[in-house]
Amino acid sequence: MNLEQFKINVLPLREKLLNYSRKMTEETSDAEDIVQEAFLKLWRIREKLDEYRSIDALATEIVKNLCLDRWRSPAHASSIELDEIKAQAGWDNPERALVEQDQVRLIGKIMETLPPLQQTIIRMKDIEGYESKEIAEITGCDIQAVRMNLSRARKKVREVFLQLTNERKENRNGNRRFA
Amino acid sequence: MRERKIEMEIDDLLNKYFEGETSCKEEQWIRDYFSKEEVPAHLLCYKPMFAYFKNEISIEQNKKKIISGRKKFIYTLSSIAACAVIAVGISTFMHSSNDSCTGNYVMINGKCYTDEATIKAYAKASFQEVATSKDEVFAELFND
Repeated sequence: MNLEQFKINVLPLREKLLNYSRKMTEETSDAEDIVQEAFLKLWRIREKLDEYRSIDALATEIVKNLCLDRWRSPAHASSIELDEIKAQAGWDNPERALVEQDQVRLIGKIMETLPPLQQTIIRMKDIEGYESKEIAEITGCDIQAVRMNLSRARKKVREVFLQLTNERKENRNGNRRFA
Repeated sequence: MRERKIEMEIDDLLNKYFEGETSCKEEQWIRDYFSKEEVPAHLLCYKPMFAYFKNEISIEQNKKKIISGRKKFIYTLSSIAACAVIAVGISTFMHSSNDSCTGNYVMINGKCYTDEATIKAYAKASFQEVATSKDEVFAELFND
């Protein structure tokens, strides 16, 4: 299924899915994000969509699951994961000299903590080579919304990375001072 | 002087990048810039981020290559299978067309005959089986 067919067969479900998502989340901004995410998921399986008897039912099911996921793990859960990232990247051990490869791995770990929609959009743009306009077309939202999510994701990665790097520097300096 | 200009350019592009406003082409340029060894100190913190994307892109491309390789293999395999099916089909057709009769023919006990004399002989024999002789007819008529 190419983009044109996707626009004809899948995108018209948007209004219906948005209503459903609004009912489930009771929060409009989350509802919009969930619908965008659902369309990106559908886009990812576009080659197999013909195998489903009803794309409508499939899309509704995806939205329902995304709503439930969001309900189970709210966005602020990511702050808890930061300690985990530090541990995994050896970031919490100031004695260990970190090579560039460790920093690259840390970026990957930070990426994993982004909210799902931001994660998908940053991957599509920075790794898979989609233009923002294409992502907007797939999700049926305007390009400004894509740019906003992309900007938030990129700034978040930078922010957390700098925060962890500075923290580490301070720890190392502190340890040296007391040594 | 030239380096200074590139530095200004990269600063501008980075601002644009973090606002989500760069095109894929510009992002490619940024990644290439940060993959070089000599990067000004104040930009060093961006190196890992773009190195990560560069790594992931090559992983993604490898995946695509493997998938397309697998697809090619499946296509080759299915075309071989299709050729085999066609070959079997043609040979069966040729074989059966050797047996089959053209023009006028008669089927007797599941076999095909075109030779007129044989057919007549068979026909006569069959008629003999159901035929009634003169005596039998008279016997039937004047029995009473």
